[in-house]
Amino acid sequence: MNEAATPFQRFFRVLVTVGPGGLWLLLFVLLPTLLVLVASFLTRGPYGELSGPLGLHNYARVLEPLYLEAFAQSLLVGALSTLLSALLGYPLAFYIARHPKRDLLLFLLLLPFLTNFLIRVYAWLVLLQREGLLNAFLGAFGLGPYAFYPSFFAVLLTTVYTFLPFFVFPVYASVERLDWQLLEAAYDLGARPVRAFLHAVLPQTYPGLFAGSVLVFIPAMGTFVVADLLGAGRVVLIGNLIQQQFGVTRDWAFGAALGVFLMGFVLLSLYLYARIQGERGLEELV
Amino acid sequence: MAADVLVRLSGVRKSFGGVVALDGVDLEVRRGEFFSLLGPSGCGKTTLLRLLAGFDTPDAGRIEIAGKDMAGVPPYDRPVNTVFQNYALFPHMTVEANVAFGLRMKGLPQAEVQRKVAWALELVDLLGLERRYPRELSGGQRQRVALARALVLEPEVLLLDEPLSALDLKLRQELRVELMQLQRRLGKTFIFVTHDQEEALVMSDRIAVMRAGRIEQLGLPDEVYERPKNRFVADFLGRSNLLPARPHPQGAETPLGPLRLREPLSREALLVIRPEKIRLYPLGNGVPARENLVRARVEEIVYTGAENQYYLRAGEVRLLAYTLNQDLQEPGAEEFAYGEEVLCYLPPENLVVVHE
Repeated sequence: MNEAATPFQRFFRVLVTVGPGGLWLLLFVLLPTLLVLVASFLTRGPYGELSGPLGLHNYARVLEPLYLEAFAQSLLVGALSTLLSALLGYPLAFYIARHPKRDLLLFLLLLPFLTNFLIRVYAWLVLLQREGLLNAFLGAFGLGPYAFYPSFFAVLLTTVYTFLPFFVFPVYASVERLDWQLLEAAYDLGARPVRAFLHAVLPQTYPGLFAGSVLVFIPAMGTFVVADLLGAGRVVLIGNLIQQQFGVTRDWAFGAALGVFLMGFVLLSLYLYARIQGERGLEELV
Repeated sequence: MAADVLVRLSGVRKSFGGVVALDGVDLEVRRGEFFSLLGPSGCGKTTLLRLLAGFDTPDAGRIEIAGKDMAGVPPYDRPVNTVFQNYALFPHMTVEANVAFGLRMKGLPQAEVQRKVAWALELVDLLGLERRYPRELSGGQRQRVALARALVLEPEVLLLDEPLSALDLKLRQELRVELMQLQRRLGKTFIFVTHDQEEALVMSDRIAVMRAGRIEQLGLPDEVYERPKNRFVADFLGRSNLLPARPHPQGAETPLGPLRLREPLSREALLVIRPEKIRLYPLGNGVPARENLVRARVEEIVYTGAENQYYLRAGEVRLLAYTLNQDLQEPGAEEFAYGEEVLCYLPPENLVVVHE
């Protein structure tokens, strides 16, 4: 059947199989990215519209201390959220994977997603504010009240809360596939529990750990809602600045440049990871 | 003799959630012995191995290895190493790192690790594959890595959990011989778990045949094969003809008529005779005028290459008899055809009495 295919038939087959996915990628990934990229080289017009001249002036502004500081702050939030998600999520994934009612636990982990994201963030605001539940609780022991809100701590806590499930799920998938006999083999060969875990179990979960880290780090770095609401102006992340450019300031050209800068940073990190880990690293990521 | 005992189990019991896996096992394995635990799946042989390795703890009873009680001793402190059924090689480590793992855990200096790894890889004929990963190896090579990884630690006892079962027949037969040679060369004690009776017969110094958490019979391979203690052992090891028998002045009364035995029966029993012990003769031609002759008709012939298997019927009784094809060269030996009447000779010394 293949041999008899005319060039048109072959073209048609490619179109039918690859076409829809390709079209989707073209419309929703490639085109918007290109638009942003082009916009980043333009200039803000008198009424906030995009106009000439073309140039690298937006990127020069990105490197101003104010923006680099916000970028560093975002990096810190991203890194700390990822670290905290790992510390909480890694053991949690093991606990769920080995629990007889793991389906229920997975459902519970997903449950918050049934509520609107903004409402959940506001809920933390209620919990953490000066007259909030946490301070009321601590007050019962004669402690506080503390200024949990607004603060970097509140932003970090809520960010971890938001993205923790994205860490747990890929690790859970790794743990489910784990070959526990390797742990026995390590014991058998003289490894005590901690070293047996490090050598026989941990490496098997690297793909999940990496996928989870990426899934937490990238959105945590780009988030602005949490920083807006729980930082109340004290915590300014790159995401807030980008949002400002597209909103209040109406400087889309500069906002686009900030976005491209952030995207470039993330892609570069992934590329470096792939280089270090070899091709398998990227395969496992996808 | 007692000084030679390396592994001693007494009254060992283990059950998993109410299912009894080991039902009071007493066992002594001698130093330097190739000892097989043979039985069908679920007989408790793997459980026994896991108790020796320390992965599970017995509910009752005592396990001694090299004179020390193993109660409370974790796997990493036991003088045993295991070759797992699926090898359980570390997939993210090279062959070299896999073999070196145990030595590194012991904290040996790098130079010594390298020397010992080279020794172990040479032992299993894997030199040159140090940098490969397990996924880049064939099944047989993986098996050798698992062997090297365990042997490099020079354990008192090597535990092998059906290490050949994942390989194809030809490779399995080759590795059998290699494993035997290895064991003799090193003089190590091997405890080998298998459900393959041929494997056990070929390789072992002694065999324990297990069923439902108990040892049914323990002995030399030929003892277990030639003198099975009960119907299960007779059935599980190779194939057998089983005849119900009652006492008779000549020896035993059976559905084939009276048969002479080495000793007359005192009570009802089962007679066991192996297919290759039955001699076949053509009617009226060179038949030895003796007792224990049974007339039967050939119902089916299975040609296996090395031997012919005759499915015979004598009245209501079905018999199975093997003749070596080589016998055809000898005078008096003949091949038989479908439907042909033959005389079966059941030698008294090969009729084994079994009570159950």
